[in-house]
Amino acid sequence: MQFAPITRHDILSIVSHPDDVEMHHSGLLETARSGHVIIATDGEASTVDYTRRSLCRRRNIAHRT
Amino acid sequence: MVEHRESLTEFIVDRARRLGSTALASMGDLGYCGHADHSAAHYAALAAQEILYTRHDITLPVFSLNHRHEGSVVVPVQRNRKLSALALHASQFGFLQSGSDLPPTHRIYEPLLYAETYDTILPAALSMAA
Repeated sequence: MQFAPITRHDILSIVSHPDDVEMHHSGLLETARSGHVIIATDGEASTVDYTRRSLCRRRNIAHRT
Repeated sequence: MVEHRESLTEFIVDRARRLGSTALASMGDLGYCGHADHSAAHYAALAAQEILYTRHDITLPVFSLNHRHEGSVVVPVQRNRKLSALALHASQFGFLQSGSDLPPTHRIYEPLLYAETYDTILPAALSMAA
């Protein structure tokens, strides 16, 4: 199966700490067409619009399934 | 009474559908540096991928960060931003200055100063159907 190049993707990155984003996925998120990040820590998940650097949504979640 | 909490997997499925995401990204099965929370996030992403495929007919690749830097998808990075990100951990790992040699505890991150490489993971159900 062929997928589009990264530049045409809308990425949803899943990390466990805000510091993880820049260190692990910043290249991918900067290359992609758009990027959102789910930061799941301490029983709570936040969604950040990486492209706009803004918080989209916060939800109480069970971190470990 | 125990209140049901939505799982991380369910949250990822919900967000991916609402945002119209075309791919998921994780830090790999070992969580890149071995951190259990990183690994848990990776497996939640895979579980969400399967649900999106089997229940919602949405096929998303998971770009899984390759800790050996052998992934087939290679992405350029900005070195200074990576160094700044590493510097955020200086209080935990000790001395670090931009441009200097990384201390031993940071060596695992040195390849990320040059590129990110990812493996592309397809839904398991898709592979079985082929």
